[in-house]
Amino acid sequence: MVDTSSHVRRSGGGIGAIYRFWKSLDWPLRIALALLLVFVLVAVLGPWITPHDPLKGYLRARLLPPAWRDGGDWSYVFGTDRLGRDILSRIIAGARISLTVCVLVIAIAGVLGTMIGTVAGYFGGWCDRVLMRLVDLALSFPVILLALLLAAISGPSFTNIIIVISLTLWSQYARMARGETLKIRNEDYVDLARTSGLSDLAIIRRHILPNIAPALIVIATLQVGIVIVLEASLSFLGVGVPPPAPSWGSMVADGRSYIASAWWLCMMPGSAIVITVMAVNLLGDALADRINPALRGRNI
Amino acid sequence: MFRIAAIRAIEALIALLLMSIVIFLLSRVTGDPVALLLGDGATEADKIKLTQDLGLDQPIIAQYLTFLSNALAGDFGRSVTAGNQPALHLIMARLPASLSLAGVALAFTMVVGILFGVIAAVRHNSIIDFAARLIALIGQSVPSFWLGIVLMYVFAVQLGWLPTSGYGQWQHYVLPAATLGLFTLAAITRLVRSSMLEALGSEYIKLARVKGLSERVVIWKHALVNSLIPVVTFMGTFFAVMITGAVIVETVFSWPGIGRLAYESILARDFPVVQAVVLVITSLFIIANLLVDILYVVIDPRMRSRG
Amino acid sequence: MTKLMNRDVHRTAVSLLAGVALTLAPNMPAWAQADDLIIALSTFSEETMTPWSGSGQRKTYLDVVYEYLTYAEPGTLRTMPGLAESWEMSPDGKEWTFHLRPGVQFSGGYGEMTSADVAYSIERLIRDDSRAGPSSPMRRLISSVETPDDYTVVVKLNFPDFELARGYFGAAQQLGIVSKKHFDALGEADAETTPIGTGAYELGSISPGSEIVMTMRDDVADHWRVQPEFENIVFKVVPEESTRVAMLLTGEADIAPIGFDSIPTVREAGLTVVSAEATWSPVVRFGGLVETSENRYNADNPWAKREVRQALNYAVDKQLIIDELFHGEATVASSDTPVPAWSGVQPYPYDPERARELLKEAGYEDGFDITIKTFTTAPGAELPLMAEAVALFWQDIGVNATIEPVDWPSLRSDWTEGRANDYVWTHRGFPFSSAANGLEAGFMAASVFAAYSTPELETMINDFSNEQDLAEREAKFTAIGQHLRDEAAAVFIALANEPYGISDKVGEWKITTAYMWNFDQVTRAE
Repeated sequence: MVDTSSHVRRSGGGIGAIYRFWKSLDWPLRIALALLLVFVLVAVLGPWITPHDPLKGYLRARLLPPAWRDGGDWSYVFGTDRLGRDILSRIIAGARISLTVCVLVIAIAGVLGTMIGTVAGYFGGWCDRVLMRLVDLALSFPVILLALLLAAISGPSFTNIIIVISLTLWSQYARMARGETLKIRNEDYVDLARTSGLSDLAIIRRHILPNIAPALIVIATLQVGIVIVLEASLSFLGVGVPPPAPSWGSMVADGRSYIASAWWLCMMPGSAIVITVMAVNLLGDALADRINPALRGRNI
Repeated sequence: MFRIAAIRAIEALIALLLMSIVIFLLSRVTGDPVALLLGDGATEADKIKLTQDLGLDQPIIAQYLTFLSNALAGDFGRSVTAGNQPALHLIMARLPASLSLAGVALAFTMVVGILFGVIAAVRHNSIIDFAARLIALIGQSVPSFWLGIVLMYVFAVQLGWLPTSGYGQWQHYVLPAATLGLFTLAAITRLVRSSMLEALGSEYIKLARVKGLSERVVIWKHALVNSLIPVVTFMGTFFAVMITGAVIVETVFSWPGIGRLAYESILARDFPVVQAVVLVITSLFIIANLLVDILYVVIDPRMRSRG
Repeated sequence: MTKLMNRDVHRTAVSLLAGVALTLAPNMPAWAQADDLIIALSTFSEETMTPWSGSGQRKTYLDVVYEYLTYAEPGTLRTMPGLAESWEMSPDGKEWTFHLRPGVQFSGGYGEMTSADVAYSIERLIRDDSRAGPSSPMRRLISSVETPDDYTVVVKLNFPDFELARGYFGAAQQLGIVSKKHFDALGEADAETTPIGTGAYELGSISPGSEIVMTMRDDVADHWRVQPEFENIVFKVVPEESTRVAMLLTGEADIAPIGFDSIPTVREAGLTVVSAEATWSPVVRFGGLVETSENRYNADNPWAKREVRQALNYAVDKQLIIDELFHGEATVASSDTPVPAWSGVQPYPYDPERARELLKEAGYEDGFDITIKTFTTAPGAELPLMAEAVALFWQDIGVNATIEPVDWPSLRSDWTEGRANDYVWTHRGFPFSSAANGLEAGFMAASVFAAYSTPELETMINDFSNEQDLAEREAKFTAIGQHLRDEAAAVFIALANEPYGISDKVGEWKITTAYMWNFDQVTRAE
């Protein structure tokens, strides 16, 4: 998936390939990859490794500082929040939420965007024109306002978050898929398939999609960070993942009034966001360099 | 070129019309404005009367047509929550604050971002390149609301160098503009750096060097102009990012702009204002994109033949 | 004034020149207006300038311009003469006569305040298109306003109101007296933007969504009520609490409402905290309990049973919530509205055992699911936090609560339209200066804001409203409070204060109670 050439060789077996891949990375990338692995592991194992119940608070133990500060308690390593809930446990549980949002959004936006982009690129003509105008509109419209409106209608919910962020991000896939499709739609092998009577749908599935997949995977990686930041921003505005679910964004939002008195409330989850997003972005850039250098710097 | 502009303008109008329908429908289902206008202790009879006064007992299509014809005349109705003031008047009063903040932020990010990007590309793999990449990485990884709070705490509360919030003097611009601009700064730095690297390795730059042009001319004229094309294509997106960011930044820094107005009126279900503000913002976008399209044709000769 | 003008010029320049304006920086090095009283508020609400064009929230800044017929004494809340020197009520409570204070001058050269101005102010406030909070019940109440002479106003009512002077006509409500001449001269549209009142201040400048500057009148030395010490009062709107606290810490604000959790921070910085006492009463309200209304009653809710409501009250350790979340700035509530007459009503103690028993009696020993909707208001920034705390306590007795954050407007429309029937929500109570007004708004099915009502309760309230004997009234009123408590009409949490951070520029500031801020009486520190 990462580097197609290394898969073809497969001389040293799976572990060998992984080792060679690891060796090919520079130090920042290794750290980033390790962080990302920790993030995924924590997200998956979340319910079994939280030291406390992330939802259960003890009002008498609220706003405890992190363990290494005066008054801290080693059973609450990162301190407690305004309801006396363990911040570390909430960050762990929050990783799971972030990961779920990322996976769902990227799946939905990716499928939708790729479909529209491929169709536009493959068929061209007025179909292309209309679809691409739609993309332009979506790319430049402040979707956050639409997000707020949607949330205002049906109340903040997990489903809403997914829909809203997907609506924001599909257009990037569409644009990329269209561009890549345009490049290959007149290649000899596509023409050959067409003349041999293969249906358009089959051509798209068998010949177009596999060829544009690498570029789309790069976009997907580069979007992980954007999804996490968008979710956090919506939660900050009060239209994100509803409480008491410990999304990192709403944890920062809850803690923002405490910046002068209990800084750990927003610094801890805030750092979790920044570190994770930085790791993902680093990896995304590296991936872009390997698969398609032209994509570098284009994830906005 | 005029043909392109004309086609784009017509498309823009259609987009605007579509948007007006979407916003109109959305705002009608978000809640009943009548409830917002009723004071404590109001009765059923008060409610019915108000519903009639506002024309809300009409069929939805009739309501939309009334809305549209009024809107074309610049009348978006009166605010539900801001004591009956005309919606457009509220927006126009807030627009300068938003535009000036976005303007300052954009100008700052363009200058610094291009400078950073060019130097980073020219001194590829140097300390400056590393710093530029680090800034680009951080800029795209830090949520703006978090950054705003941290900057305010450090520079206003702890160091006392700048005001925490407010609007009026130039000092008030520094923190909000920095918060608003960091993401775009990162994006521009990345864009310019990567396309500069590409340009510096290209044939025509090699040719220019062979021709004996000075390094300064090669970099700042030939290479840079070509590297700016992707920046121009993304201008519309940057503008969108600015307005999106404005909602958050204006709230954190108490900036009296339309981002905060939009946010507050959505939460307050003040739909005349919501409709007007969303349509005004959309129009701004469409105009910005139109300008970008035209600019694009002007600076990239290859585009002229297409259309 | 010239300073203000300068600031306006700069502001325009900055807006127009965008980035270029950076070079045109004003010469003032400081951004804080050192000589002015700066008040950072969480909202300007409608940001309009007449008493009738918006909510009572605007009284923060409007009350330094407009004055009222009566005032309340800080501390005792005794009714004191205001623009009316004295008043009397007919025995049936249906006719009130107000004797106006002679010689009170409007600002802007609009002359002496007379009965014509008062009559105009009343009539305008209750007109159909008024946006004032109490306009609708006042419209039903008031039958006519007469002005037999320049200093006498007679108000005839459709039904008795024994508390008109301290209630709807008092300083906690919205009957600010405007100048009729001003409106006659300029016409409504123009007059609305330049508020003219009898207060010590007049509008200096306004920057929409940002700041309102009130400037002392030139003839303030002769003012009948106050002798202000600040030339300008600058009101700023700062929605973020963290930003308001930061402004207090840096000296950019002199007075600002703060959250309870910011009290230690503000004190540590050497600033003072002043609390308006018992101005709001956070409760958890039950949906679908207006028995006498067709579309606002739902007998299927577990909490339609009194035992369940009582259990939900017993389950919550209110003192712990007060100690921890409210930093002691509250008392355990036995009622819904902060009125002294109900101070004798005993609150529900914290008794989770009793709560479980009651649930069992009601047939819910396995608990049930419940949705708590919550939102923030000002005051009331702590409501979502309180909702989460309540949910924790309910969890202990097996009641599984889901919290749904909403915003006040959408809940408000659910509530007023009978769609708030299958959940409970946090609310800041009814901060009415007149108990009768509060009862009418909160517990009579006729009001769209009724939260709980039964035929029995309506009879009790009607009896009380028509009672003319003062002692009997008091007794009946207390009985209503006891009844609301026993029926557990809501989960009463606390009577809470409203804390404000105060800078060291401020000498003394006395906030009377809810909706009476007295910003024109703030003194300068020595």
